[in-house]
Amino acid sequence: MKARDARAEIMPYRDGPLVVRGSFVLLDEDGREIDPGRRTVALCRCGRSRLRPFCDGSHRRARYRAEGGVSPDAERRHPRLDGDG
Amino acid sequence: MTVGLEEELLLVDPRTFDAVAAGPPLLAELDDPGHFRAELSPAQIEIVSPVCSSPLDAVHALVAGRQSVSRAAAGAVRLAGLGAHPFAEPWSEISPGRRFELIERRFRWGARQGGLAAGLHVHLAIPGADALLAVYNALRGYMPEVGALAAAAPYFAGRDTGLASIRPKLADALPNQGVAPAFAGWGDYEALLGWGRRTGSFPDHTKLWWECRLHPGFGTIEVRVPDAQAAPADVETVAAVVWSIARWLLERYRRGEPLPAHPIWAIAENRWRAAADGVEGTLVDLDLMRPVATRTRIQELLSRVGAYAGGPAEERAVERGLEMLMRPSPRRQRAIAAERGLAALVAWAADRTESDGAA
Repeated sequence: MKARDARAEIMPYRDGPLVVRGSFVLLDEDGREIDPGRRTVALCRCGRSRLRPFCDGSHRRARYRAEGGVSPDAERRHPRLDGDG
Repeated sequence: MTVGLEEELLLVDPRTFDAVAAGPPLLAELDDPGHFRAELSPAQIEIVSPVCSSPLDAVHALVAGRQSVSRAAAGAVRLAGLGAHPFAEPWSEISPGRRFELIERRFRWGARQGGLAAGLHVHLAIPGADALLAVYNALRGYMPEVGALAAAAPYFAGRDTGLASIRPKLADALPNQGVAPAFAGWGDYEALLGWGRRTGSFPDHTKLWWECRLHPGFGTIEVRVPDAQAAPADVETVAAVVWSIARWLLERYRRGEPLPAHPIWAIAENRWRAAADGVEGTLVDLDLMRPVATRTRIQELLSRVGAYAGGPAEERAVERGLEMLMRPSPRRQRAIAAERGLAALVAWAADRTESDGAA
């Protein structure tokens, strides 16, 4: 369990944010650290959040649609995404 | 608002990790009926917290109770927080006592199945009779989200059930279980209790074992949907989430916002989906009546209710729900069982249950 915590895990929630846990550092584009204030964070991927880079649930009102994993187009371009390649 | 917790824990043999009917001697040794109580199955014990002003204080009391049980057991019995034992014989023994004897006589096979389920119960005291009823009616609709987050019983009778939790199906073996009806007013509730008395169906509200039930005398709602949890941190998160949903609903009621009372059949469908897939499936959005990914739905709920948690530590406990979404208990249990077997799975649960903190 400790070994798993030593890496970051990023999970796309279907129709929702990217959720990140584990060991990670969040930076702004000037390289300054953003304090997430917690160990597991939800990052906006629909673009509608007013708390960017964090999710505020706005994807729901926007009826944002996205896979909970790899999209079909990404699958075609990177067919071995979930393999060892 | 105040909160009290009860948890039903499995008693297991420290070598074989099979269920062991050690409840009666342990309770005699503990001799503290205010904090430790018998369950229908003698292979379980119930730990009761005092009434607290924070769910985290109530969890601390449960953890202290777990330690007291372990001391009383002196290494002869271990405690495991799971929704059901993964490989014990699927036929509950019945604890001694007239109350349990009557339950067995009336419900027969139902008592033998229902007795195997182990839950975490959250009692919420809501001030004001009208507020209590409005929060109750609305809270019913969020029970499947809570059940999905807390699902912790994929194995039963030595087999993988394919479900995230067998526990709702065990509960279904008894009458007056599952999703509770909404009540338009207290008169409707009184009428139901009167009907139960007149027809000999249930003598009072304590025989209505719904997943979300009213105790009008105490001014409380009892949420019975979560499976028993192993790690104290998971107990904290589940309790803090239930508490925060109720406080969010109460706040909306006080602002004059009409609260929903979702239809029983729609909640029942979500109850099934939560039992089947836990957080890894879909639930029906009961306002828009369309399916949504359960993880996304719960993540939204956590971010909405976190502000109502009542304090920074409680809010952190709610936010830790994100970790439970990413690493759901049924998935972890299946990984352990595949690698090391079902006894090792119970040992893993017992280690977490008897630890004093980290997940």
